Amino acid sequence: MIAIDLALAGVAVGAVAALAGLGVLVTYRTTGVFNIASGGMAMLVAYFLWEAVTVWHWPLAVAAPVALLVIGPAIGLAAEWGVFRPLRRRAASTAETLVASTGLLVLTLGLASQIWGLQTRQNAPALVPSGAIDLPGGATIDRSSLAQLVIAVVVCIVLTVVARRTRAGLLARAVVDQRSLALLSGVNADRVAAIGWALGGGLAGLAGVLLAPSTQLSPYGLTLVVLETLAVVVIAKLKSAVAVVVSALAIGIGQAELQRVQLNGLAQTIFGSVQSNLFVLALLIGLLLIPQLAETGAGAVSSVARRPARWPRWTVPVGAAFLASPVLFPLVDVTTAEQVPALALIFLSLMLLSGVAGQISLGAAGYAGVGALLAAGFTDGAGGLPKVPGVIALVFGAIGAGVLGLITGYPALRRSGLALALTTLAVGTVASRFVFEQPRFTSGLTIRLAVGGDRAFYALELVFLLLGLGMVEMLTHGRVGRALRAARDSPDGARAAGVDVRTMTLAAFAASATLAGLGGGLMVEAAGAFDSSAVDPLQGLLWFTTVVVAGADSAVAAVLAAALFVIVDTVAVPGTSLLVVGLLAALLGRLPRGIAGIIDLLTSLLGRHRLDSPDEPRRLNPAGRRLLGLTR
Amino acid sequence: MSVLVAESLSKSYGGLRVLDSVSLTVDAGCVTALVGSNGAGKTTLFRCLAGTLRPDSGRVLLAGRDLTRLPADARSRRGLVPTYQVGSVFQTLTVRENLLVAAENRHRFGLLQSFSNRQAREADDRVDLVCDELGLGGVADVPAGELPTGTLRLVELARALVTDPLVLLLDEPVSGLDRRQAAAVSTLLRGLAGAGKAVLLVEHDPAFVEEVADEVHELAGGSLHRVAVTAETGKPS
Repeated sequence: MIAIDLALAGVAVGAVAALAGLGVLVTYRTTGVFNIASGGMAMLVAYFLWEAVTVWHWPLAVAAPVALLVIGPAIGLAAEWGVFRPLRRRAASTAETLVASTGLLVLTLGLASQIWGLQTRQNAPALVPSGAIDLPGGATIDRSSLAQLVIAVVVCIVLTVVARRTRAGLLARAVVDQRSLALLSGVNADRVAAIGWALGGGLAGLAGVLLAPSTQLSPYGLTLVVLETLAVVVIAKLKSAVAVVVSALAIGIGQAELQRVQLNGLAQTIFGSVQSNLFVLALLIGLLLIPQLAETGAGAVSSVARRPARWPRWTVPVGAAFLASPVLFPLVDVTTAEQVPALALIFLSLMLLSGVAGQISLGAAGYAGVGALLAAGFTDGAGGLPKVPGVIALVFGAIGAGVLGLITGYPALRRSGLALALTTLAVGTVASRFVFEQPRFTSGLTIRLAVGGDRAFYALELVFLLLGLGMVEMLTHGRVGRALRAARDSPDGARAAGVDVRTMTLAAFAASATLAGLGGGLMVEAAGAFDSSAVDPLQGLLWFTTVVVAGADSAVAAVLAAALFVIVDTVAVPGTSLLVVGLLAALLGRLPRGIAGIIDLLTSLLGRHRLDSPDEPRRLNPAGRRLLGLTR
Repeated sequence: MSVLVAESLSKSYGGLRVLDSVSLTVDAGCVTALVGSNGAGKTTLFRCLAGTLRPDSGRVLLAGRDLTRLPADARSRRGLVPTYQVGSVFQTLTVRENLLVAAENRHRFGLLQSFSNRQAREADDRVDLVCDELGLGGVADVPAGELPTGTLRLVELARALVTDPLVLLLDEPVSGLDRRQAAAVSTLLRGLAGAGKAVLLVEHDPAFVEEVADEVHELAGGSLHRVAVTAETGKPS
């Protein structure tokens, strides 16, 4: 009987995960965009309902339809109109679309933190009042669980019928498979995409509203819970609505059934993590078992960078002076400045891996966290680790993260585009849920380097940053840098030119994780304690988006972005950086290449350099012109 | 003399046998063409030779050395260098950097070698030489992504030539070029063959094949048939 009751309890979780997954699937099948921001959309709608019911005192019967039928679809439509339509019109790569999607997620987090703050709300209104319904055989099911199951099944049936049996479904498939041909056939692709986004936004909102009463209503909390349910879309290989619902219910019920098992000691710590994080585990396992997702559209493009922006020369000495003089931070103490070199190292790691090597990595927080945890462990002598001086502990932490990077680089050899992005996100999430958030591994780690005060520690950070910059300089210029960029631009072309792409990719992952681990170690040493929220998976998304917006292929951009990131949040309301980064990323369709593009445009407008003429054949030497038959 | 030998290569996708014990020899100083209808398995054979696809059975030998288990980059370093139908130039690198990548990776990457000035100078000189030969000096510092198709074809050929290959594998080298440009590429390939290089090309365009090839093989039904040789070689067609 307990088994049945637990299974019925798991149905509720599974049904909501199914709805969130269906929202992502419907957007993907109609637009080709994998909506990583669905968690953020869900959270915004849930916050709206909370505001309407508890602050404005609207009746639930009015507020709920407005939230689900107006606000949710409106957010979806706004995303389509403001973010993805411009990208689609200029046939942006999968990578750019993915960045815009993560940018949208960051933007929703920024909006929510500005409007409602970062605190948790406990009194989210429930759509269906709870109450037990007796079933034959003595089992009971919660009324809201039953309602959620019914809604999920009905939505699944409707979507499946529409996709397979109606003209609308046929048109949607046509637009995603061959947009240009569909346009020539008179299909209104924008309308199809708008419907897809409205449905996706509505379903995400429904999932958020249903989840909010049982989980935390906070910008990060609810968003992350919905993000984890992406597992069901991956298991369904981005194809089948039925597979989404079946896998969601299976994981939900499986997670509930695991509550019956109790172990002891470390085994229970690990098993307890599995019990509460089966969706995260399913996401990672699903991605490892399914290296190729049914990606639509232009295919998997791994590069997020073009040629680096031409920074004015004065930016380097000015930036160096700025970094070397924490006294220039007029309103803040050196404790705030200490965040900059640590974050700059993490941004440099992303610049190396995503910007130069072209590997989309959403899991930087995982590497930073491992580096931080190991550095803290070695400094404190915790968890059976030998106690070593702080500086050596930082190096050990970085090396440990580098080893993890090497290991996680292996799956990347067979993945690209969306599959790679999601795999790195899953690795970061698993590390967060199974290690960083477990008190057994992290409690009591209170550490501080004995280097003679804050300014001395800041100077030490700058030394590490210089070493990191040296490493990046060595790896991104000259022979290695050219080979990495060649492998990024065309793996087949690089192999044809004799570049060992496999080794290059693994080396990039290891080097990047080492830098992130060092940055994470400095971050925890600066804070004086290990804080799992500082290496939350959403931080990884935020960092990745920031680096891309700043100019993914530029070390100068990475360091300046770190400084600005910290300064903005210090002088303005905390969370403002989310808003700025999210806005810039979401506007990639209208402002390609973010800040780097703006700088290029400004310098060209100021006449510093001439944009290259498209009439290139004239530049060929006579021999080349003769070879191409341009002269006789 | 046969530089490249494919021995009994077979490859199936599911139940479909695309290559059925295909054998082929490519001689130094010759342009060998591989023709066949769409879906005949030309690209599969090309990829098995280039090393981006592992055959189910059979061997690939370069100058008598078995390369079958080597990946594409190792084959390239040994002198079997492909160019692809879909542009595979490095868009964000300049033309010169495109060529440098190939020149610098002719030998396996050693950490110490990456600091060797002598090797860097050799690579620079080789790039300059090929740039001059193919007339790319004027666009050497232009990012490849800003160049038109014809010039990109030339860059891709130059990138292959910089490695001083034993065998050039070309997948539809004149796709996207007009008749005059194709004739010019034909002249270039004939010149390379004259200099002793072995060239194997996969091509759709019969006029181009007729113009450039010493020997023509047709792939049909998973098997290879020699269909033509030029009068110069004296072999029967």
